[in-house]
Amino acid sequence: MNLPSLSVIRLRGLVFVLAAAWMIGGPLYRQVLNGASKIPRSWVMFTGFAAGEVCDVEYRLRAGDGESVLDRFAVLGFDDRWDAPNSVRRLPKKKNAIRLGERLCRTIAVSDPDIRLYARCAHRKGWRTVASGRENLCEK
Amino acid sequence: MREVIVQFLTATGSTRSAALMRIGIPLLIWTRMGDHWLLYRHHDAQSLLVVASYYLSTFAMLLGWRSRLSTAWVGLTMMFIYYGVGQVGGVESFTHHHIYLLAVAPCLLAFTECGRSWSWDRWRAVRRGAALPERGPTWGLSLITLQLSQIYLWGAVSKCTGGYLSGERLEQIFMRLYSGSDYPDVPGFHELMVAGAVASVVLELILAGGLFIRRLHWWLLPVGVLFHALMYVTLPVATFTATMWLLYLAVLDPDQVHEIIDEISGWSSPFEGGKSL
Repeated sequence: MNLPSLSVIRLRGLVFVLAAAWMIGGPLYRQVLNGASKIPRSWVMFTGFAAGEVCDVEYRLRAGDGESVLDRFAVLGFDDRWDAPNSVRRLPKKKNAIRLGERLCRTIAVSDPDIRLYARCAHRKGWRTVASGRENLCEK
Repeated sequence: MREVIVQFLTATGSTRSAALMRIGIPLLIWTRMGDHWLLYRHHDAQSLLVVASYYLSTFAMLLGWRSRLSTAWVGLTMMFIYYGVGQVGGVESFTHHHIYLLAVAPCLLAFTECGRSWSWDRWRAVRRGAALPERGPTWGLSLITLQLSQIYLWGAVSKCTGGYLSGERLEQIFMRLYSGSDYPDVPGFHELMVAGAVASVVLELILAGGLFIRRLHWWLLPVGVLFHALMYVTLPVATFTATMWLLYLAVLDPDQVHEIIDEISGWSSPFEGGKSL
């Protein structure tokens, strides 16, 4: 195959350098230099996924000095957790966890129940503790 | 140095891998967003223009009609969808990295002779008796390889945070998709998430550099394929896995791809300047 002319080779070289600069410089600008413009593309994948969308939640029933973990599905009458609606299975924020806790207070077959919430919620930087059982949800 | 650069910019190889990408990319674009661009959903002139450009360009690219031109046209259309409709127009689903990859890939593919194999262009040239050999410059394939490398490199950089490497971000993603608000009662779950986080960053860094080292390909590319397969099965990554798999063709030696296709087809078609088959 014949070699292309020098001007074609130069043009190829120019295109290659410009494209490479765009590919390398874009993420460098966005991810290292924290550039605000969204024109260059960054390659951040799943950095925000799940943040603000799920909390790790545990309800405990306090009786005397002791606490026992409460099965929220059983209290609400679900034999299997997969029978429960998504709003019971996955609690995206603290307010959802508190609301469900209050529902547990109304439903549980215990007089004057004392239900405590322990929860940490998803954040881009990791888990963030949002409740550590300080309040009795049934007193609200 | 000058000679090395000239050699790099004038190197040639089989055009079949580029042609396979030319055929695969429009199919992935249709899969990813064809539903959005259905004609009945659009009524204003600008949208209808995008619809027309979207379908005409992708169909021409798939068919291989004026291959390089139609591939560039798809790239420009997809860039308009990413920047114009997505970033400026506020259609969030078009601002994803899946879309950008589907936009930048045809832009780069247009720098290859992607119409020299398996195209309408070639069919017409063969009938005229003027078909050029299935060979073309490979520097465009190197650009695609560089793009893949940058995806891995910067993907790894973005994960080098305490939240990710501690396994907490993977725990959150797992719970968001699978277990809901109940921390999995599985022994070693946390350790598994930490190992997964560290392994994914290490693998991405190895892929970022290893894509350019041919002697690593025999094990690195299968590991990359499995990595993307695992993501496809477990996470909502849409067409990203298939796009990355398809673009791996740019990383491979195009002449070897040609030979393998001949081998599995049971026939041989020697190309000018290539190895004898």
